Formats: sequence, structure tokens, C-alpha cells
Amino acid sequence: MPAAPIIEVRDLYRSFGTVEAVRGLSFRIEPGQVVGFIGANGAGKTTTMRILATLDQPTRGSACVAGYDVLEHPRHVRRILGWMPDHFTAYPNMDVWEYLDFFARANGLKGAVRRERLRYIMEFTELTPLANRPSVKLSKGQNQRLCLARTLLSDPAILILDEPAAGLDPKARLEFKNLVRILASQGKSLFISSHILSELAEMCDSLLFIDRGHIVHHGSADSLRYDERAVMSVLVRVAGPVEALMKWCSYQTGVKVREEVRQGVVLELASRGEEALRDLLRQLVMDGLPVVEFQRQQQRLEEAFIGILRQQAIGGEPPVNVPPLLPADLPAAPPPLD
Amino acid sequence: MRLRPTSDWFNPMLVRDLRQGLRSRGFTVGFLVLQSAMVFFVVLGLASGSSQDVGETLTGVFGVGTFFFFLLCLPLMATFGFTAEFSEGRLDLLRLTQLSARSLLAGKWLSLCVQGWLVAVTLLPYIVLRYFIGGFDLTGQLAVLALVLAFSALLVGVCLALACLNSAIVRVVSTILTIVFLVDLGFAAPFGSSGFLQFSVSGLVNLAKMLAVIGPPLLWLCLEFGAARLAPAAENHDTGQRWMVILLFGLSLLGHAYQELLHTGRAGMPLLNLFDTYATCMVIWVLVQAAAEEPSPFPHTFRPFVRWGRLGRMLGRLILYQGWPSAVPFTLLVAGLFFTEGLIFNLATLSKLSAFCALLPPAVLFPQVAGWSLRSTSIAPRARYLLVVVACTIFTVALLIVSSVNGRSPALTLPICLAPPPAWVLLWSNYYNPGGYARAWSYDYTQMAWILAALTSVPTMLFALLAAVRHWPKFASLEERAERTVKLQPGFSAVSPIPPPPPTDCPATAPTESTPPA
Repeated sequence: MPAAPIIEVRDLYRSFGTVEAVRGLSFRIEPGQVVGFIGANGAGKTTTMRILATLDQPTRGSACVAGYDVLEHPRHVRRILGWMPDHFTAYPNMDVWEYLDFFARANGLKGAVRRERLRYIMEFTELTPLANRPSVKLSKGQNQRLCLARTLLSDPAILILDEPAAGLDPKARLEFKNLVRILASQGKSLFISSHILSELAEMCDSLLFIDRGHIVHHGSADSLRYDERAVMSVLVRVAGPVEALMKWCSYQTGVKVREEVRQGVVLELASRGEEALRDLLRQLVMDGLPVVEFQRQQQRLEEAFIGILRQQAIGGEPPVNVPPLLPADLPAAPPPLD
Repeated sequence: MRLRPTSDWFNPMLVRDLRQGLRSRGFTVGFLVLQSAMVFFVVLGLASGSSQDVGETLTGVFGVGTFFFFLLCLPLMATFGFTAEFSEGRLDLLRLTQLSARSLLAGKWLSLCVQGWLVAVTLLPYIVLRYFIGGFDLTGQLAVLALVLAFSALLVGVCLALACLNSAIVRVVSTILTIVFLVDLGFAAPFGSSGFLQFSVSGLVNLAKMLAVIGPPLLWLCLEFGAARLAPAAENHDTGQRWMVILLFGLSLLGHAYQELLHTGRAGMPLLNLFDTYATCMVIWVLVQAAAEEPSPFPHTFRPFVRWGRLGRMLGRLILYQGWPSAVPFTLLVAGLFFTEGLIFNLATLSKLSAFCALLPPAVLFPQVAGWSLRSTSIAPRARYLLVVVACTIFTVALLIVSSVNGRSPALTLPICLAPPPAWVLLWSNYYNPGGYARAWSYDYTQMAWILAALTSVPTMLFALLAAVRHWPKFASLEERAERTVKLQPGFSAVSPIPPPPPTDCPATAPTESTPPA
């Protein structure tokens, strides 16, 4: 029997006047998963997250967090959920410790438990050295860590992070990614929205693509990278001059040179599947070409995302409900061929 | 300055705001200016030689300083108390904590009061100095300070409630109007020229009595009003306010009964009249709030009622559920109670009483009923209500001007009769006596009240009642959902572990749109 979903959204609608921010959104997230939520600006990401965090109410449909309907049990939902907004400003005339102490008190922590929790969270987010610094004088990265620390104070089982890495420098982004990994390893469920797809792909078990209020894709990053429907590309490098390889390619049917690279080419294959790759490699070797590298090229996530959007645009209105995929249903990514 | 080892028993908002507030530039500068002024004038007074002069100088400085700080600075600080929370999106983070909106408001109010008390403590040496140098009455001065502090606390509460309004312009304008209203109606009108500003013993006693009688309910209502604005949509603050209306009515009833049965004289009447005036204002405020409120789509707000079975449901639908559908019968009930009380205790002439009670429900509900015609647009319910009120006001003022210029023109009769319910009182009064709108309530409405009530009030009320009853199936569905969860979730403690989720599936659809009336 499959475990109950930690987040379940069914046929969710949210309108602001005449604008429909969310239109028939449905998906589910299993416990312990890290799920990325991707979409362009105005796609409905923040609205969906705010509904899940009980800060907004749907016009129609339902959303459940850990089995609790957000409309029927908002207080229960707030207790088990941590929300990190995309925009965050600390309080003036307060230092980092006081800021966190206030939220610890506001979350009902008292006495030694509060002090211990504060100490642990500040160490976890590496804020201990900044304890006495005014909270409004932190760098962007430190600010994000402070916001995460605030979110973690109540030890929520589910974390909803809205654009947590936006505006961070590479170092801060890496630190943040590490924190997310640790949280995931602690068994927390994370629902993260971001524009940076590659980064989400590294952190997330699955990705949810939203466009104009609909889910247009739900699956792992690998299922996007190795999308069977996409054109297959292969990098081939040879020892010696590349002209022989180019000439060989010009005689082959179903093989097209996409790009010339150092000591080789990137080929696009007309046929798909692993068999086509095997046949191509066999042919190269049999024709005596000195192949030193043969690697299937991954599709870039951004390209995949644009491809999905383009597909939806060609096909007219996107489907209202894309059936969510459970981890077991996800297609296994093929290993790269060396 | 650090305030770290603060007790767990303190409201977190109080701790936060004290930490922040005592370091804020506004408080620091205000405090230093007040202290410097006090020291300066003491030195100046001492240098002048005569102890009588010193005393007078100190009296002036003390009076101006305390009134400026406690009755102007602190209320203004309260008016802008939530500006940053609104503008920088911090409110959402507060909403997600276990702090209720009431705790937020109460903590904020208390922190501002504590800051005032801290300043008051620093003023004590100057009062003592006045006792030794100027030979003043120390007890009287301390009593004045205590009363100023109490009145300041009330003003801070009122301003905090207004601080929760989204629009900065509305916030500032309503703050000024409220302060003027409080000071004028609260002190000048009932106590006349021997008011509190003259510091006479009777004035101070009257002020103390007034604060004791009016202060707690007004403060509670203000904080509740603010909390309703700050709270997430899922919290119900409407029902509490309606209980407050019933309580106010009960207090007024008891007061009049006490006056009539135990005191033959009229010694306590000004205070009782003042209470009635304030209570009536508060009641109308609550009724308007209730009428402009959309019904709650959240089943958990129905749980306290469904626990009481059929009685609870009926009470909820008729008077206590959040939103306009129950506000319609509730307004009728309140008007009936007013009428009964007025009849029993002869509070006004029958014509005035009947005019007021016939006017109250349609006056409160007409903007909501009229606003339903704008339902298809994207205007928020409260804004719609306000829009109709503004439109009615403009219509009334325009007709007033026309009737003042034209006198008794028969062409004006129909527009006046069709004017929105509260407006025709002014219009009719002015029609019969140009320029007499200022004395609208002194006019005798015996016949007019019932004719005009029949023309405008009765259709309004019937329409509102019909719409309210048509909303009952929605209530029934939400009650059913609430009842299901009551059985599953008998209680929930803030410190207990999270209870297991109800074994029901996430429902496929849960329409939450409010019902458009007929």
C-alpha cells in the first residue's frame, strides 16, 4: 500500500478578479521527497505555495498537507509546515539572536527547550558567529540563512521554500544547497520553487513544471534530460584529424553533424533508442575510425522546459491534469555510453 | 541596551517590541527631548529665584510635555505600528506562528503602554521637585498623571486598531477624526466647561469614572477590530464582536435598571448617557462590520456551534455566524433590543425611538444590499460596501444643497423618499426647515418615520432577509463538514503532539466561493 502523500493538491483554482492565477492544478508529493516547482514569472508558483501555507485560500478545489485540508485545519497545517517566502526583511533594531528568539517564542517554545533549539538552529545554519549582528545588516546569503533558520525553529516536517536561492552568489548558493541536502537526509519533505533549473535538478527527486496555472510536467530531472521523444545527440571524438570523421558522416544516412568540437563532432541521430547508439558505434569502429570518446549528450533542462512549453503551445491548451508520477513510475535514466 | 533574559510568560510581541522600541530613534529622541526640556526649565526656574515662579514654570512644562508625549506621540506611534509589517510582507511570517492576531495586537498595545509608563517613571522626580519647590499637591499631580496614562492607553488602543487598516490615507484621517471624537464627545460634551483640562477634582473624578466605564469595552473592541484585520481569513473575529454587542446592551440595561430602581435622583445620568452614546457608536460599528463581512468558507469556524447541536446551529445562523447572512437577523434583533430598552426606561420620545430603531437595520444593511448589484465586478466586498456609502453620502449632500437652495419644492419629495435609509432623516428635516439638517434628530418623525421606513426600509430588509435565508444551504454543508471534524478532533492543544490526520481523503472539490444572493 503506498504511503499517504505529504502534499496533495486536487483541481485547485485561484482567481484574483478576472485573472486566474491557478487553473485546475493537481499533484501529489510523497513523504521525504524533495520536489522542485518550476515555472515562469506569473505561472502560479507563489500562489500555490501560499495556499499550501494557509496564507491564501483557493477559489475552488482542495489542498491537503499531511492529510489535513488547508481550509479545514489551517492551524494543524501551520504547525507541521515551514514556509520561506521569496522576499524577506528582518526587523530593524534587533540582532540575529533576538530575531530568532522572537520567532521561537512565537512558535510556543519555552525556557531551556527554546534556548537549546536556538543554539542548534544557529549552529546548523552557521549563524552563531553572527548572533549579535543587527539582523538588517546581513548579506543576502546570510539573510537567506536567517530566514531558513526561522523556518526551521518549529521543526516542521514539510518545508515550502519559495525561490530560496534567488539573488545568491555561487558560494552562498552552494552552502544553501548543502543545507537542503542535510534537511532532505533528515527525512523532511521539501517543496522548492526556483528559476534555476540545473540547481533544482541537483537537489530534487522530482520536478513539477507549471505554466499558466497548469502542471505541464511532473517527473525526475533525468527523465527530462533523456527524454525519448527528443532528438538524440552523441559526442564522438577521434584520434588524429577530424576530417575523416566528417567525411564518414557525410556518407551516412540518419546521421547529421550538429556541431563541430575539438577533435570531434556532435551528431544528431534520426533514429532513437539505445540500439541506434549501439549500431552507430559498431559502424564507426568497423569503418576503422579511431574513436577515443563516444558519449550520449544530455538535453539541457532549460531546453527541455522550453520544449515542453513549445509542445503545449503547438498542441493548444495544455492538458488540465497531467497524471502525477510516483517515483516507481519514473523511467530509469540510461547510463551514458563511454 | 539588551533585554535578553526575559520571562517566557511575556507575550512574544511585547518582548520583541520592547527590544525594538526602546532602541528606536523615535523613542530615544522623544525621551531625550522631554528630559532635556524638563531639566532646562527646572534650571531656569531655579535661576529665577522665586519658588512660586519655579512652580508655575514647572507646571506649564510638565503639562505640555506629558500631554504632548502621552496623548500625541504615543498614539501616533501606534498609528504607524503596523506600517512596516504591511509594507515589507512580515505579517505572513507572523501569521504562520502560533501567535493569534489578538496576541499580536495585545502585545503591541502593551509594549507601547510600557514605553509610556517608563517615561512616566522618569517624570516622577520632576513631580516631586514641584512638591518641594512649588508647594504643589503631590497626590493630585500623581492622579492627573495616572489618568493621562489611562487615557493614553485607550487612545493607543484605538490608534492601533486603525493602524491595521491597509490604506495609509484612511488610517491617518480616521485616527485624527477618532481622537477629536474621543476628546470632544468623551470629555467636553458631558462635563462641560469644568472638564478634565481644568484639573478640578470633579472633572478628574468624572474622567476616572468615564475611563472605568467606557475604557475596557472600547479598548477590547478596538483590539478585536484590529485583530480581525490582521488575522488570516480562516480566523473568525466576527462572533466575538457580536457577543460584545450583547454584553454592551446588557451593561446598559443594568445601568438603567440600577438608576431607575435604586436611585431616584439623576446624579449618575450624565455618565450613563455617555456610556449609552459610546455603546451605541460601538454597536453600529460592529453591525456595519458584520454587514460588510463575507461568510466564512472555513468549516472549522463552525465547529464551536455544531458542538451545541441544533441550538448552536440555529444561534449561529440567526445571529452569530461570521458574515452578512447572520448579520441581517442580528441587526434586527439589536434594533428590537434598543427599542425595548428605550420603551422600558423612557430613554426618548416614542417617535424618535421608533425612527432610530426603524432606521438602524436598513441603514446598516442597505450598502450591502445595494452592493450586490456590483457583485460581478472585481471589487472586494468591504470596498463595495464603502463605495455604496460614499455614493449615498454624495447623493445626500447634493440633495441637501438643492433643497437648501430651492426650499420646499414638490419635485424633491420623491428623491428624498427614495434616498438611502439614513440619509432621508437629514433630507426631510432640511426640506421642512432649510438649514435644519443640523437639528435632524430634534424633528418629530412620528408619521414620517413609518411612511419612509415602509418605502425604503421594508424592501431593503425583506431583500436582505431573503438573501440570508437563501444562504442557509451553504451553511448546512459547512456545518456538516465541521461536524465530521468535531467527531474526529475533540481537542487540540498547542503543546501536544500533532494529532493524526482525519482518516478522510482529501476531498475532490471544496467550493469556497461566497454565495451571490438572489
